[in-house]
Amino acid sequence: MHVAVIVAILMFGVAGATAQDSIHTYRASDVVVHADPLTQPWRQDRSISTTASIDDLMRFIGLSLVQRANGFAGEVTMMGLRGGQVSTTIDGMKIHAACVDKMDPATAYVEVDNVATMHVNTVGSDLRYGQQLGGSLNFLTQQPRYASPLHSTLDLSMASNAFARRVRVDVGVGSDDVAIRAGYTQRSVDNMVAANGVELPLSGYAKQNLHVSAGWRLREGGELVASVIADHAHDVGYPSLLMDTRRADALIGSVTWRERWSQNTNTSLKLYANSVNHVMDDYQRPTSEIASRSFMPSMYMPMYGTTSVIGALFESTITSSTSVTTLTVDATSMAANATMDMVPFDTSVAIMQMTNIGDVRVQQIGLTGSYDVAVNCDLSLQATARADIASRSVQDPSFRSMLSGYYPGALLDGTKGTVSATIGGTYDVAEDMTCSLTAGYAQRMPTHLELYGFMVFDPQSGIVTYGNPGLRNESALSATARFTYRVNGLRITGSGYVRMIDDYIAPNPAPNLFVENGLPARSMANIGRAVFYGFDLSSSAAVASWWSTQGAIRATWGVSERYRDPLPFIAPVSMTWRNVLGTESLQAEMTLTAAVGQPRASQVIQPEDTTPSWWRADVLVAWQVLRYMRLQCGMTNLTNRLYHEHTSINNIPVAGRAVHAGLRIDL
Amino acid sequence: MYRHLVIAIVIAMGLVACTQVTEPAPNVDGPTLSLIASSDTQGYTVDLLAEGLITVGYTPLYVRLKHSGSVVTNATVTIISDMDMGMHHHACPVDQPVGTSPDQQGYYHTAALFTMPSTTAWTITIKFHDNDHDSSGEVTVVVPVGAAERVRTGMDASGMKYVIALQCPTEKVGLNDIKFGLYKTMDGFDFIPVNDATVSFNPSMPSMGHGSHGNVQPVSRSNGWYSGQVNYTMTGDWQIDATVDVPGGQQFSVSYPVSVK
Repeated sequence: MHVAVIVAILMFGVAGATAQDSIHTYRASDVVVHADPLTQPWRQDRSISTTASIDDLMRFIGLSLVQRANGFAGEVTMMGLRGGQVSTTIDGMKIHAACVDKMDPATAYVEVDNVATMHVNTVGSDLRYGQQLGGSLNFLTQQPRYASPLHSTLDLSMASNAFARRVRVDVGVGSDDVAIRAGYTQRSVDNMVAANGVELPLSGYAKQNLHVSAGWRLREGGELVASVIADHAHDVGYPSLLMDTRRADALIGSVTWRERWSQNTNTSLKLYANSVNHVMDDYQRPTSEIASRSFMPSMYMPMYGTTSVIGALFESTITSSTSVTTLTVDATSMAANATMDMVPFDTSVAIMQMTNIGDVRVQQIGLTGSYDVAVNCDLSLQATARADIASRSVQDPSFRSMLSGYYPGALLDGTKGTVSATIGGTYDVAEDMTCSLTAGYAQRMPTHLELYGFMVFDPQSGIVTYGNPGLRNESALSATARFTYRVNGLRITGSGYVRMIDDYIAPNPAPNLFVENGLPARSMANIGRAVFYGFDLSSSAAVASWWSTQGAIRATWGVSERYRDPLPFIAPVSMTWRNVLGTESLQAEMTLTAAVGQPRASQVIQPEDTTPSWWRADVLVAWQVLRYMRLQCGMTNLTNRLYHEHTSINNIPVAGRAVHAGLRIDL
Repeated sequence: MYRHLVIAIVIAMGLVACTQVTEPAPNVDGPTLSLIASSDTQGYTVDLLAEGLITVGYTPLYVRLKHSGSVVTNATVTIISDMDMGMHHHACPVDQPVGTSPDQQGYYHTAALFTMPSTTAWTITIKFHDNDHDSSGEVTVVVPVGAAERVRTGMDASGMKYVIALQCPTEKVGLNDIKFGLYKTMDGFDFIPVNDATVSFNPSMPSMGHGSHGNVQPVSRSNGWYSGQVNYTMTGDWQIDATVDVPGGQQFSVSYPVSVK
């Protein structure tokens, strides 16, 4: 039977099949963006299929994504924080985007099927894997299972819109001492059709992802786990940008040694390395489009980016009956390069080449300690602190020379340090009610792109940006209050927060330092204080044994104090209402999602436009036909609403109505 | 005994090594020179060398004198440029060798700022006086000059002509030294360095519609030369637009194409 499954997979693979995802359980530490809304036990840990990607999984839990492509490679924003303000890791490993235009965030190299758990922290207390100002996102990948007979999963699905196809296969087996798991996903998506029936050119993509992990149990409590993720995407259309990804390759490998030294003491040491190669170009764009664009008209401009990281991650946990103490040491060395060719249509003009990132090296080490203690049965306290030190340098002599001309006297190389700390408490006010308060101070260093990125075009605001080696660290003071009320299958959770970021890093709106080809050009700068505040309110209820319902509403506001300007890329007030009906064998899910209009558009910092309100509905039906077979079908954007999210670059619309169907076989 | 023999051999080898140098050794760190012309007169051989092919613009030249096969190390050398344009002649600015001693390789350093290309019309007359032998001579050699857009000319209201030359030792991405040479002449033969002008420039890429930042505007150094730095941000075809304000209120604007590799 397994052979048959594998053969079937290969056949579908050759045929270019694709898409169908599994929504995995995600566990939240501390305050979460949004917990699994569904309280029915059978709903937990159940894999259902939609035609979604990792982006949809992140949306599912309430994160906003800056969207540049069609449902692919969205850039996470958490409460208005993004980029270097948020820590995004895979199994604690740092992966740096190779594209200077943010076409390949780290999440682009994770396939939803390989994610076992997603840790989301929105209060800034999870500092283990990187500096951040208030948000962290860590994907924990599927691990091999010991003492497990050969098992496999075949998951096939497709959707009508963009003819999205996906095939996925998982194979795993484990003895008492050795286990291995391999997961492969292939997806292909054609051009998307918006609700108005208009096909969006160059909005498709194709992607393959292979994740292999193997475990070797050394002794009781001790194991070695090796893991490799190989991801390849090609011909990824970015209709909102000037170029498309021709190919993007990521290779992510790690070896982890876990040891339980005693009942109370665990350690983990991970050595890892990853590399990302990203190639984009505009060769598929019509020459009329290239000739008429404002930035670098009448020339092709293929771009090449690479990053590589080697790192070590040590974690130690000591528990007692009332406390948990953890220590994390996180060390990485990163190298980044990005270049761009300019090939004029006029062949009498010489081909040009520019370096956007010239062999930038960053070595960083961070030390994190946290202590959670139950003071009594009603009160627990948590404290976390992290210190980082990083050295950076520019190795490319030409790039150094050029940059030193733009910033005379600036130190291109140097060492920076940051410290961050949070403290919080959770108090059981009553049997049904828990309140918590977390306050923190955090710093983060500028990213290598913010420091050195040369002549990077922002297609939404039409600004050419230049990195600034003289940037100072951002620092943030934040406070989050949260309550949870639970009674008889009803749960209500609410939180509110405020965050003040000093030395906020953004393209400098004050003087247009440079003007390029008639376009405004700005250097990155610390532009004073930015203030964010918002709330998140969610509830879930088991209405009946066959019906659970959940609703959530969340909002974030952000403003620059110096410029009295709303901060860019902040989603408006949005809400979700989801109902799950049925039993374990036959389920239906209906979801309504809506957002009010966003009138608060940045006009100064990174000009954007306002966004009208929108709503949409999705339905899904899943039928467990046999113990090992499940069928599902559904419809997304049921009422075929034409809209775009506020965080969609250049207002790329969401896909119109689509019917999707899938088959999953577990053997 | 054996030890003494070894020491003697080592000392002998050292003596040989010290006395073998009869001519300056080739400078492995210096530019590779090409022989442009060579001429004999009165027992002297006069070699004119350059760093590769000569093109329009500022061109370092190297003169080597040999007498009976030995390099002359104490001479006064001057050069005179001339271009025969048929109906008339003119010269170009030149730098005369400094002092009477050549460099370690036996070369007297000089330079000419060739203002136009020609394969046959440019000549350099090299005059010398061998101070050790108290004898003089001169030779005239043809210097082929290839085309390059490194020299521009201008004229003010009084009829004074100006030669404005661009010199970029390197043309790479990043900050590069850039020099402008400014000379004035009334008759086309005597060129006077102008040190009290104001020279400014702006690099741009015509095909891209942008320039660059971080350029250092030139300041007068000496002998008509103004030194600054130009910041090329990418490879390709650049253009240097220079403005020269000469004393008396006259202003010239000139352009030079530059190919950055």
